[in-house]
Amino acid sequence: MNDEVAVRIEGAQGAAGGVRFRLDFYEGPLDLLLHLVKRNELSVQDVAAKVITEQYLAYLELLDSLNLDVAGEYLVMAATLLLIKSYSLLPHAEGADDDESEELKRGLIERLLEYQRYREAADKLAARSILGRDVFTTPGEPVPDGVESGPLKVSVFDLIEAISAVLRRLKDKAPRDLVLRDIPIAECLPRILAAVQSRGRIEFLSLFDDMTDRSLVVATFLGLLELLKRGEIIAYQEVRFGPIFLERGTAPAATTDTSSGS
Amino acid sequence: MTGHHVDDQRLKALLESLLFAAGEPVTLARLEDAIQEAPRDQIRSALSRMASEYSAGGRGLVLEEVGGGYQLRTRKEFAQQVRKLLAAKPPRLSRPLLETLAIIAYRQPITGPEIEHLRGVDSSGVLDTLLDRRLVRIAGRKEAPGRPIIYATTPEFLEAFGLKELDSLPDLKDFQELQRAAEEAGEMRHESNEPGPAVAAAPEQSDDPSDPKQSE
Repeated sequence: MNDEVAVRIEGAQGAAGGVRFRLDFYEGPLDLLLHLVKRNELSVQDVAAKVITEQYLAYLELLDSLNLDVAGEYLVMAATLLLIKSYSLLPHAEGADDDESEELKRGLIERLLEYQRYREAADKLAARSILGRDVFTTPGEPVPDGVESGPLKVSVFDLIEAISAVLRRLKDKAPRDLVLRDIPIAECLPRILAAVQSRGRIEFLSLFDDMTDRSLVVATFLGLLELLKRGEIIAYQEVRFGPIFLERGTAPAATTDTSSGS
Repeated sequence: MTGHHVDDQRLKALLESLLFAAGEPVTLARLEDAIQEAPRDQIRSALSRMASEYSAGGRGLVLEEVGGGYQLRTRKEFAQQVRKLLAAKPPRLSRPLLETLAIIAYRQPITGPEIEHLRGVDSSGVLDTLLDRRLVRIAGRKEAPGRPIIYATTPEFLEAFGLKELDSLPDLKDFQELQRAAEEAGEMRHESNEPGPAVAAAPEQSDDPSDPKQSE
């Protein structure tokens, strides 16, 4: 089981006839908030800042435009952020409302701080000499499970940010959404694998170089998430915020049959 | 042969054989039981001397205390070559997995809902993986509504991360301290921005440099 970029992709007929996919982040809304706070060079104390709320909501919209559904926790967090924002926008008498807003904010900050504490503890664990990775013994072999830890791992948020740049570029280049085709994701997998295999490693963005079709970009992206999930491909950065590279993972290439239908 | 007459050199060689054959961490009691011919104190001091001889250099192994026992392990600097030889894939340790493991390690015994509250996201998949890999075990059920499952770490967790015991986990950053630091940062910002009288919650808006008029 793989949970670095843990995405379960399931085709499902949405109400509008479009295909919806469910994106199961094991990374939760707290991750996303920390990610945004860091990206904006703010402190956790600023988590209720307008810019963070806006970017958080933009994220959910972006996921929606990618036909991805997120876990309910993301929506609960969005509601909390909006509630804090609404308190701050409404002119109101001093008193109860104010306290409530402050309390919401304080609660959120405390949760984030607490969460950050365990994130740091996790980093410390990862830096230890780990059996089966750094040190070995006889004859107990570690359960081979997944992919080697490369240089800098890419979080699913980094990937989504990168794909949103591709989609923006597309908007400028081509008439948008002329035809929204349904492209079976399974068809994208061999193409992605071949592209990566042919050059050893490729830059994430180059995967979409020749694409002008929005549906194709989205399908390719979803296919890539599936391959990352299976460990057939790994994504990494050499430097923080640097280009994202794709490489063959150590997981054996599975048969390309997949439940992620069109 | 009985009693205290075991030659120290021989004892060390014997211990080396035992630890090599066992692979897993072996407690002092088990070593004593297998050796029979030396008292516990002599074994303990032989192990301690062995450990320093190994780590003195020129050797491919180290002797470490992990998970309540003693274990021979390869030197970390040769990890790459050993992995290549064994064609072994290192255990996959994703961020969500390590994060959940850290929460359990520091807060155990802890229930599923408590873990999910701390992480802010459904953690059942990650918990299954941790159970599968025997880094975590089910330690019972809490006498609370719904009788939620209680999780705790295993001896394998200590072994995997080279920890002698749970108390050897590095200290968690002091939460009070973190909170105070964050509050101070917030207060400074508050003072420097003196919100207008009409808008009570202005400080967080002024954090957005692109929209300075927001507090109007």
